[in-house]
Amino acid sequence: MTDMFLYRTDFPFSNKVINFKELNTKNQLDIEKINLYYPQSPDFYLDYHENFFKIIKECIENKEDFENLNIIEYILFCLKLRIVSIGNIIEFNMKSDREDVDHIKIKINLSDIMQNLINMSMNALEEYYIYDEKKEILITLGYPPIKSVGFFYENMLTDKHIGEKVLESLPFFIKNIKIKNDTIDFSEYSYVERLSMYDTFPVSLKDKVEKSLINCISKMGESDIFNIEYFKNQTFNFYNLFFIDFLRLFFSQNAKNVYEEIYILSNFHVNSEYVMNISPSERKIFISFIKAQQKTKESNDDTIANDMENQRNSRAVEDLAVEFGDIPPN
Amino acid sequence: MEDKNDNILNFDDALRALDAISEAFNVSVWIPSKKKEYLFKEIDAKQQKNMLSSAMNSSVYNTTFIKNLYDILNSNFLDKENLKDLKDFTVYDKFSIAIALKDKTSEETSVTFDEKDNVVKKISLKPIIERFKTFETPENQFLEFDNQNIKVKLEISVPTIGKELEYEEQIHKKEKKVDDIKNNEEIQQIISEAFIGETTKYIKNIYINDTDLNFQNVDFTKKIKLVEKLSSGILQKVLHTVSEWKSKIDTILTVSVEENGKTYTKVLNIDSLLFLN
Repeated sequence: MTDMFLYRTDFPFSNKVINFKELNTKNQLDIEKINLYYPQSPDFYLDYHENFFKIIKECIENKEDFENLNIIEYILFCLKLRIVSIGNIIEFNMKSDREDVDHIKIKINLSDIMQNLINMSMNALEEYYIYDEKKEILITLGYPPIKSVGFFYENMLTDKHIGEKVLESLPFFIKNIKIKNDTIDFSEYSYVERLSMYDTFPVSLKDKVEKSLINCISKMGESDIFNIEYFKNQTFNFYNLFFIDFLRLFFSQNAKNVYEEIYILSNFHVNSEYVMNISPSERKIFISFIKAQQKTKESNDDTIANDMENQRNSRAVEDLAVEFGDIPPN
Repeated sequence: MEDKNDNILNFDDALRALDAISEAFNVSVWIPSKKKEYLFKEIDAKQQKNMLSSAMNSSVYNTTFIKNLYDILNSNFLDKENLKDLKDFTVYDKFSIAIALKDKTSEETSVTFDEKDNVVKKISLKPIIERFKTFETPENQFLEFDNQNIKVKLEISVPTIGKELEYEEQIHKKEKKVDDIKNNEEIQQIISEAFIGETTKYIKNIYINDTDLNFQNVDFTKKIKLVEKLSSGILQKVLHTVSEWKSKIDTILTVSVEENGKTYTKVLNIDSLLFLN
């Protein structure tokens, strides 16, 4: 079967357009498997992210462009994929902090989170460009690429002070440098290479970059993309890789339910290979047909049974009336 | 902002381009001993990091900072035609350069005037830069002593940055950390060695009965052994001259602020912390 990448979405920072298809049942089960396999602990963030990324990449046509998105764009894409494939509302029960309530039900609209994330990332990075007209140098800043997740993971696990962690990460926030007609595309380079180039910056120039980026990182830390009381302490931050946990949460489904749906569809003669290739939303549609069909069938069965019962009751009344020399009722 | 006509650079060319552009971020520095200005490249991020690491160094000596600053002066000196002048720059010239380089990276510097009263103020380094233009580098002085028909003549001069580095490399080869000092005797020994060492740096030459001891061309280990043989009277005179010179340079480096009706003054230290405040 030829894959059809029917959806496309463009991104605010890289200006890239990504063609994609929905997540299918197999992808969803694969995500469930890694959700079950990797403990929800920072130590496993990188392993989890790498596998999750591999699964998500299966839905992309232009994979190379996708690999070059920044982390914010990657999260935006995952949210979009979640909305298209599963739906934009996510509901879950969380253990309550209150003594009188065991659990609270949380409902999140992923479209709102997408919008909040776009607004937050746009507002935080006020100064995209550091320009020195006299020296004809233009530095374009941007959010760290997906490829930098490994760096942020190592950085997170060190005992260094957060200030040091932030300063060490700054070369990943430089997108490119233009000197007259020459361009240095930072996305081409590893951390070590980026750092070697960053180290050559005159301090006055580096300070401007640093000031703008620290301002951006602080603003991100102050923003509340969830706007939900329960998550009020969860601010966006590259230094704790919180987004990995949240992607996990957004894509989390009960594997048993998914298998049950596959089983039901197979019982109704829907080809299992076909089921593995449809999206969770499509699967829900089939399941709803089956439920509706079953309901109709049950309803029909009830009518027949009632008719039979009615018929049985009528015969008994007639027999009784005749026995007492009366005329049976109509 | 990318142009289709832009030339995308490979890593080596990118480094070269960044290095070239960094030369445009320069500062003209007044060198008192030469009575003229020289062009220096602003310090870069790597050099600033090295300064940070020398500030974190717990050595009792200042060797790491001296080496770092010497390396910066060498690599950031842009007057390539006058490169030979660099080695003659004095330690006082170095102060002028350090202040100018710091001023270029930030307009204000945070100075702790009084730790007890917690008087910490941001000051401009511009007045110091201006004062350096009036600073007269001390001329070499000859101190003569006669004792029992032995005539000792010492030539005293402000050490050059090259001599200062030589001293650090030869004498403080083995790093001594603050934690390594076990008792008061060790502290006294360090102070005594520092005193002799500092004095030795200012002695350019020694003549005994007009015989040149070729002091300039021996290493610091031997120089110190020779200086230790000099009488305390001679050393006192050397120290007196050096102190006079130091007080002149301290006047240039003195800054003051008014706080709650009280004037606080401080002689700026030229060390790694200067580049981090």
